[in-house]
Amino acid sequence: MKINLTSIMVDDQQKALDFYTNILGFVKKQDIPMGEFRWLSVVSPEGGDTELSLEPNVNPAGKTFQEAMFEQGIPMTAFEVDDLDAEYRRLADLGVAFTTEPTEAGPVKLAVLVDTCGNLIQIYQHVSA
Amino acid sequence: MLTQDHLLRLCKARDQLRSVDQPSLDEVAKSAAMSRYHFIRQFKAVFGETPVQFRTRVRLERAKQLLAHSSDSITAICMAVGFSSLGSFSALFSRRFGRSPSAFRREMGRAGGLPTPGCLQILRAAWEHDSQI
Repeated sequence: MKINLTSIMVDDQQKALDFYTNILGFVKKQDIPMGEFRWLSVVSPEGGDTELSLEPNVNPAGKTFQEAMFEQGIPMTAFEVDDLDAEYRRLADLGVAFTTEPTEAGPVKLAVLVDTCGNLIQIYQHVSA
Repeated sequence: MLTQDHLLRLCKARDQLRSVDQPSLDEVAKSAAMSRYHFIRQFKAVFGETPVQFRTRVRLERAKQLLAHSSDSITAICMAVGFSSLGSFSALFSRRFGRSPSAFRREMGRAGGLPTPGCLQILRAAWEHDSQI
């Protein structure tokens, strides 16, 4: 069994595509019209098989959950980076808002950013002991 | 950096912008305890669009639901969601959804309503399965 596909809810798929590609740096993988919405996914340009689907949060239950997590300051998912400080500076320079600046937390160093689509995203770097 | 308090104030402001009471931007900024300029800048950084863009999008989404599920006239829906001009409502709706409100309503009538996607992964799996057959 492998994990090749995961998803995140977004409040606007086009806005999400802009943020996840032009700001975070992922690459569009699938963009298939599905009625009012799209099957839209991105992958990392740095390799790996996992595809991230940008799903519309039009289901009221999903939207309620997403907003509650956001208001409680809880990240919806996490992405690994090689150099957290450099990534933090790059994203901050692009105007990305952070709720947590680079912080050491045991075996990782992490920061939390706002994806502009209703989610908090944690980015982290493994640090050597 | 955004503090938790700051984030919550922006979320409350977002809720106010969604409300049918339609408070002015100055009122919303004031209740978030921010200057108008700071509020607009912070709102865009957190939600990816300005408060006015957000409110317009919410109104258009609400109009879409009403067009699909009610028999109210397009003019009544336009006014109900907060637009004061049918012309600007139709233009904004067409730009966002690719067809006019009346064309959208006709389409929904034929399709039997607006579907809510349940699980796109399942749909995708089905699509991949079909493409392999």
